[in-house]
Amino acid sequence: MMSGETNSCSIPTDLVNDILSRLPAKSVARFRCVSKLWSSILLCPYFTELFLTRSSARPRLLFAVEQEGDDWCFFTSPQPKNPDDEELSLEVTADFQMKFPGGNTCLEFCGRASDLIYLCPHISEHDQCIIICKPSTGQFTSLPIPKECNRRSFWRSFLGFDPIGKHFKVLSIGELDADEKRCQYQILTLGTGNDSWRKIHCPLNHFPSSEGICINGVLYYLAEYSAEQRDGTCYMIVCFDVRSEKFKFIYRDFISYRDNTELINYKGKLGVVTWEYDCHTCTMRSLTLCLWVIKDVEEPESSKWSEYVYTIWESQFDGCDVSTFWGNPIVGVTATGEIVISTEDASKPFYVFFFNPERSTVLSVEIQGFRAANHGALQQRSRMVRVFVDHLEDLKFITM
Amino acid sequence: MSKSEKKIVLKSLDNEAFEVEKAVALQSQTIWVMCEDKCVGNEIPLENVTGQILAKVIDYCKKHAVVDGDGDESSEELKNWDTEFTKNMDQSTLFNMILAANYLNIKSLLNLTCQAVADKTKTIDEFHTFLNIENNFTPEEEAQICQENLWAFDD
Repeated sequence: MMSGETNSCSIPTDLVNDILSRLPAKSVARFRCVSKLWSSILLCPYFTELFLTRSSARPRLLFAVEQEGDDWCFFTSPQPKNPDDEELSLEVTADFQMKFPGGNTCLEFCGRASDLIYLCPHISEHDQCIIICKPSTGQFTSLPIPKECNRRSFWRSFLGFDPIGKHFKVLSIGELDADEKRCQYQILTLGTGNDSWRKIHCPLNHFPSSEGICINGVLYYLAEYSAEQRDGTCYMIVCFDVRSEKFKFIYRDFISYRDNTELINYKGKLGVVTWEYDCHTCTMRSLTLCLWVIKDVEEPESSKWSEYVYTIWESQFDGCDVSTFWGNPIVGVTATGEIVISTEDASKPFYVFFFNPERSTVLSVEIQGFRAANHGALQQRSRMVRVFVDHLEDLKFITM
Repeated sequence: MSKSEKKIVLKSLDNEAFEVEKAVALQSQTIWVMCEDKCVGNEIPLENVTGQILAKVIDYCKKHAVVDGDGDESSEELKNWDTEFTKNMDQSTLFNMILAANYLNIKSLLNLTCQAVADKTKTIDEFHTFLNIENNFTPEEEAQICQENLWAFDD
């Protein structure tokens, strides 16, 4: 039998399921168009669960890349692992996943839960809407604006996942009165068929000042508070239990600057990373990371924290200038504990670095393929890239 | 143990005989069960596998067998060998390797060949050919389902 001929006997269905569960989610969507039988098999819960299990074993990197004309494109690539022995450089090609039409809006990434990405496009200065995007199924859907939020009010929202009830919920916080800084807290649960917001009570008035991160059913974000004994603004971490809808607050001295602080998921626990560049000497420039990891997630308010300090020399970044990581270099931490750092501009060679804290080694990965989807347009303007680690592909559709 | 007990003969569908170390052949759960049951002698007939495919399966098993403490190859080397092993196989060989790995019940080989097919199959036509599936959509239905999954065709 020559290649290209139809195979005379057929492969058992369970083996075909096995093969298809190894494909990228985008190919699965494509193969739905093969036949009626396969269209239904590829949507059945048995297959989507098998696919999710497979996907969990081979997490990927997800990239949101700004395009000319304010559209955003999502790309995915395999997520390389830091090898045990040496420093290493790799090249990885990212595959185009889907296009998200931005339409002259400024897109704010508000975080993610599971494989859903939560976005708030700003149409004008105050006017924004809420969009949930699912690159694995090519979907995006917009949500209604929270109650009493209008052009004059500031609001910010987060997406969380309750792993017990298996619900996605959006928490939205609006500043109703700018003078009094009085805030209102609202919840919208996805997948119930009811898309209305309901108000909830929060014992402490606060407005968020960071993106949110959801770990094991708890949503964490930074918020300002004023402390009399200290000069200037201080930040606390707000913990919102997505299932019970209760708030807790963590006050720690190490969260003093919002701009150089990132909340991360450190092997299933809340971590805080702060960073600092040392550019004083030309020959030995470095990036210093401080990592704090909470010890007791059940009692976040009183928990002790583990503290680690790491220094990464510029020479470890495969020839990249540390000072070009001007914005927010920390992408997150992989499930295996590598701290992921990236550059931010797709108009220049784009790098993702995997720092192994135990060995102090860096794996440098140059990501290619972002240019292809731009159809040869001139690369003059800088183009933002957002990177998400441990991206799983889940074929179940978003339902409202 | 005498030398003859350590060897086993596998006979393909087209009557090709392969003498292999027992440790090599026993990676197949199917052969292992046959030997345990003592339902066969030293020669095992494999009625579903051609000599051409069986030779490749044996190559794979030899590479992955731990014989007399000779299993000192690093996992990285084995992985590279596996990649090379499937790299130049055409679709029909891969198809028959999957059926053989399934029949002989060699989990790691099944895993490897299924992954190789998933990596190589990109277009709907390849999928039709490989799985021998007939498109039974009416033109209207096909247009509709393609419209629903339009994003997936955007490269």
